[in-house]
Amino acid sequence: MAAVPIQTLAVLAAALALGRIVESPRVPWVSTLPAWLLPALILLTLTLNNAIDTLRVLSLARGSRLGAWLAGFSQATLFITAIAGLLTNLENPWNLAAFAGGVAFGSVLGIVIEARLAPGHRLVRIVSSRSGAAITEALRREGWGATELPARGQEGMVTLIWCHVARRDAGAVTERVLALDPEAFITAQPVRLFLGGWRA
Amino acid sequence: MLEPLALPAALLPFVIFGLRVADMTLDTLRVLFVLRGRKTLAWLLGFAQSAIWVVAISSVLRHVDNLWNIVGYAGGFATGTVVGMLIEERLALGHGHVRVISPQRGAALAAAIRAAGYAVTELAGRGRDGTVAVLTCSVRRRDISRVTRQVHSLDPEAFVTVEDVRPLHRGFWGA
Repeated sequence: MAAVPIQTLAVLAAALALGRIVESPRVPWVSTLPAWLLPALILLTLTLNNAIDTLRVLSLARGSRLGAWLAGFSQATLFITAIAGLLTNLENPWNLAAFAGGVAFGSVLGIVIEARLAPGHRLVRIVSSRSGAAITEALRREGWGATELPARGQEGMVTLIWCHVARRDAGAVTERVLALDPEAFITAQPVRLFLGGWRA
Repeated sequence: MLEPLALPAALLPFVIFGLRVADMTLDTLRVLFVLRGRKTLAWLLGFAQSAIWVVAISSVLRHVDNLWNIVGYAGGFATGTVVGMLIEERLALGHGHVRVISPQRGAALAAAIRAAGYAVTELAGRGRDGTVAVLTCSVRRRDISRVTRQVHSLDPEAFVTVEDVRPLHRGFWGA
């Protein structure tokens, strides 16, 4: 959770510095650029802009107010200082293509960055027909809390395991489980609030 | 669009800020409603949001030489997002699913939650230190904090998580 505001602050500083360099984004400044450079600049800045915007939407979906505020402020500053000035000549098809490409790339980049930062928590649900006890043992030994529930599947008794972990650990949990039971059925879902519990 | 009003330049940053707060509040509500599958509300909010945005952006772009207009624009954008989140939490449309894992006081917790008028399903689970009670409880989102507070006051050790659930059918959703 704390990782997002720090990263966003860095992006905010970069956006402000960029706005400073650009100073006046009006047409006179843009018209001094060589024509081939403009599409490249549009692509680059819009990719950055939309990556930050995607981070903003993902933080608001997660309920992180500080992250959403910081990402929103840096994104809007970047857009209005640098990008709006660059978008003066959209009749040029290359500029238009760079605009659309930047929006598309930026969204993907934002998702990739968010997945790498991986804030929040996950509930990993495991259904195992054979190695339920071994899996819970192994998970607890790694320091993750696990609760076992006896359940019945198509072919008799199965073990249902709930394991609440930090989101960045969800991949490691899955690997650990699959190593013990390659046929385990695993799903992960986001969870909001966290009270109590133990972590090793 | 704002030109005919002939606003004094000193006032423009505040007007831009206000417009941006309004449109981003709507946009944030729209995104959150999209995530919950509320189509009509999402449509209405999207329409209103883009109408306000056009006014705000055109007035900033015409006066982008004033730093305060930019600050008003960016500050309004960021603040609007947070205001939208606060409003959505206050409206609390939809349902949430509360999961409680309690090593000791499962039966008492279930009885208390039921006495408060919510439905609980109890399951027996096994934790690190032996048998635990697992309670699952689907309630309206605006009731979530009431349930978690009650759980916490009866059993401070209980492990509680909340997740969003899509609207379901039937069952018992609280008295």
